Amino acid sequence: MSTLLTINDLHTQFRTPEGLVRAVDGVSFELREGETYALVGESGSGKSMTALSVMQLVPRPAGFIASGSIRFEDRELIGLPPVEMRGIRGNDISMIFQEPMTALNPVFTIGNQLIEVLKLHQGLRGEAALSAAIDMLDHVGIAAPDQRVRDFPHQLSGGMRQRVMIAMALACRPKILIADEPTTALDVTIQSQILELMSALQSELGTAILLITHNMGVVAENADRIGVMLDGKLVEEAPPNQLFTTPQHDYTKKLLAAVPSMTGPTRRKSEIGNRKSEMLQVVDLKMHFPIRKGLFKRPVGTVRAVDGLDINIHRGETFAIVGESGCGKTTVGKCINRLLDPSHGQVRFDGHDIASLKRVGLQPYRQRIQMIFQDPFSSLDPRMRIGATISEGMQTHNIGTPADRTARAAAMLERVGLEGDLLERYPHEFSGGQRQRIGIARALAVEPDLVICDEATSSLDVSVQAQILELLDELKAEFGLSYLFISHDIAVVRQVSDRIAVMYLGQIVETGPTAEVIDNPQHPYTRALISAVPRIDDDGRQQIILPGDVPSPANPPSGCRFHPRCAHAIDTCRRTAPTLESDEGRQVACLRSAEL
Amino acid sequence: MTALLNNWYAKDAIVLVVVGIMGWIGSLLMRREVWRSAMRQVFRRRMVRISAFILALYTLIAILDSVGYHPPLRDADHALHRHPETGRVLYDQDGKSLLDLILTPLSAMHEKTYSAPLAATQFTMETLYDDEGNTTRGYPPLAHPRRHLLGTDRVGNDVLYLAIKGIRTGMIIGGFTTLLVIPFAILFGVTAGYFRGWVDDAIQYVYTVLSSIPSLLLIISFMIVFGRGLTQLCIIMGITSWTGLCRVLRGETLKLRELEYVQAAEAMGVSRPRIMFQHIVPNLMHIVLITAVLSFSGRVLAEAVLSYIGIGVGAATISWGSMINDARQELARDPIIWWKLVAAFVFMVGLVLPANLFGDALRDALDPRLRTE
Repeated sequence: MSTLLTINDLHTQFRTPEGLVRAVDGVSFELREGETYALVGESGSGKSMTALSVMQLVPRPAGFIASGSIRFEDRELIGLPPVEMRGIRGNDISMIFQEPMTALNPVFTIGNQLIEVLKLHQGLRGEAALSAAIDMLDHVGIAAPDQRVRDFPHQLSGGMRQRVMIAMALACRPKILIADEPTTALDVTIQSQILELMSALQSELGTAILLITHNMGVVAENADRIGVMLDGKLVEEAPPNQLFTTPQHDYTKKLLAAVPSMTGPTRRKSEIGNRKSEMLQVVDLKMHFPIRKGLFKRPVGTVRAVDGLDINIHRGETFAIVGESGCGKTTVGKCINRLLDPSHGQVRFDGHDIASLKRVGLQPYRQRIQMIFQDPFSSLDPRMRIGATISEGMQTHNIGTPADRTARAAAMLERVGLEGDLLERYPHEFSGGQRQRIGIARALAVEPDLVICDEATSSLDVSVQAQILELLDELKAEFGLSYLFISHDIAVVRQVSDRIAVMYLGQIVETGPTAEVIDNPQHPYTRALISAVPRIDDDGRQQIILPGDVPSPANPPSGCRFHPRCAHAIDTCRRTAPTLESDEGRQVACLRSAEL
Repeated sequence: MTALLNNWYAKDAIVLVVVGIMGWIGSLLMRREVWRSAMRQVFRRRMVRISAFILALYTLIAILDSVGYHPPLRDADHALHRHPETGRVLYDQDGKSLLDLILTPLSAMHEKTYSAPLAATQFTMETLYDDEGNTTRGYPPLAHPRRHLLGTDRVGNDVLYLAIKGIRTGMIIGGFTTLLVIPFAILFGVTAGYFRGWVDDAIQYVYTVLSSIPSLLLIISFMIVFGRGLTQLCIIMGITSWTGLCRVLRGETLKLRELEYVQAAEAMGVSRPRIMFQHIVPNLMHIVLITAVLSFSGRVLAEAVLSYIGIGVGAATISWGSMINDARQELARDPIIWWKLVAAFVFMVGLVLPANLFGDALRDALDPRLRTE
């Protein structure tokens, strides 16, 4: 195989008020014809900046390529005149980005945007361009492409938009495709569709792919060679099986150890909760949002975000809700801590129904139920010192004197692994992981009984995620907490939870002890979900690729809500809605669970 | 001297209150590192430093013009005039300001009527009598030849003095109106955005109706009912202009209330007023400040327009707007009398331009999208 792209001792730097930042600091590697080379690393490691350097798209004037060489075939890209570089971009090297929501222009139809690319690079016009655009949509697996070509980006789902992006990137049959976190914003079942599409197109067109990702699992299943980046440097380079079995660099070892595994022992150390003592019972919870339209805001429909949900959480237990985006898992959390007023059903906390309590009656429960949020960058008030943030809850619930509260805030800060004298600092002085620790300190300062962790580690780097999970587990035992863990990440959930509920379109499809559900899933959706998780310890499992997208909760399918995507659906599934059938602590909502 | 001191008074407390409140808000903000670093960034540019200096100068003049006193009456030979029976010193009923005291050399230079800048003679011809009693037509010499930098007006007042006296009016209209507007805009905007529902509907209804009425009409009717005057003008300009800021703040609050730190406070059971004033308002302050500075200059200009069409401050108040209004007739003469208009224009631009430059710099420094974090 000949070499397409050679990067030699690349240095990309940024001028900032704090001095020069070396985003890429002496990276060298080569990309060969038809292979997939993956750059992995945590945020800030310089992997995206390497890709932008290749495209000559480093944000100027702050950023610039200080030295090094990037050779594409026999041409040096650094210092190439912009006109020639434009000829290479799109034609020879093209790129797809992480965020399919913003990468397409919302005011043009996808057809227009595809035709634009074809016009620019292949000189196609009129009917020829249109039919080529339809062909491309067909090629990337979009159903009814002749109709979809007239759709605007907002009419497509995230997965479909990413398909369109791929179609645009591959329109001119480039020799190199740079994919920067192409599936990070997508759900796992959609992620596996897209990854499969990319590898199918690669073997068909012979495109070399430079894959940039933070996800070790994605890398393991898709890359021919892997480069691990740390602080702008390439610290290790190896084929997947070699890298995962015998990592050489300490950082690689640390990174691999931090990846939550789908097999083997879990990280959990704390005791399983007391099965006798029920802390939270959710009975037939429904949360329906009316869709209002027109001048008088008449309701024209209902989004059934949560549609009849029962869960029990025992004292001292970690209960997890998993599901893809839009399944209603976050809404469940918000109904329980009463950021939302449920439309129907009961939320019994220690035997008291809090689902319909008003502000005053709710106040004691505001202390006992706490929440840890997903985004450490928006969950702390940027204009408030962290000491004040942590003390605010104690002040609200009249715990202690001001001096007590300050002392406790400092103690909590130390307990979550930060220094107690940082109380006077503002949130922007901390990293994402540190901010998440502050969020935990805020929640635990008021001594709650139940903590709802809504995607609490989803936006953290994998090594930081491991530390936070560890901390949560320690604190659970120490403070006698119960957790409701809401996540899309099954591997994380497997690590931390005692019991699990899998949600699909506002309903639970399967629930039971975590290990049993994950090792032996009964519901077809659970099986697909678990098989879609990319793993580093691939044991030759069969991936189940679900067709299509999750239907809208405003208009759920009749009968079993999963039937349009289910490989095992029969006629009865279309008509009859299954209920959760109990079977020795496990419950499955599938009409055919006995046969399958 | 002691007699002088006994008769100090705040000629109108408004300016002092305005400056005081602004200073207080400024000192509160400066306690926060975010604002301190923003200010450092603002003052890094020379243009901004010059603007700030000019603004400070205007403010100082406005303050000096607002500290008043009653000067003691004096006889022709400068002896204090005393009450014939009690022997107490008598004071002038018309108050003077500290600025008047400083500008006495200027204000005391009266002429009979118009004279061009730095002219030696009067602008208009008169019948002159020479020593022998002969009469000729000609330009009489001025009492203070070549001393009026910007000439004199119809009744012989120094135009430079008038323009300087106009500063206080401009600053009050800009500053006091802005301070009137901000609390209302914050209160209504944040309340509407945070509570939504019927509260939002009601507030939106009020400001939509208010902004649908032509503001000129509203100002005229207000002035008819409550009389012409500086305070009335400030109030009515405030009423007609809080809606813009309110709308912006409502939108921003709608966005902020969905952020996780507001949700976190909500889930913690923090009271709603505290969420609004501890978590939402501080995160809106940059918008408020930028709008305040930029709308300040808009109001100074609006005063000129209103006075020009005759519904501004009363005739007794010296303002740039009324100077421009006078210029209407003066420009119709031949040869034209241009210096009053030019004086008002230069002084107005001298206030508005630095205010705009300062506001723009502030926006650049505080806009989170332009800030590197």
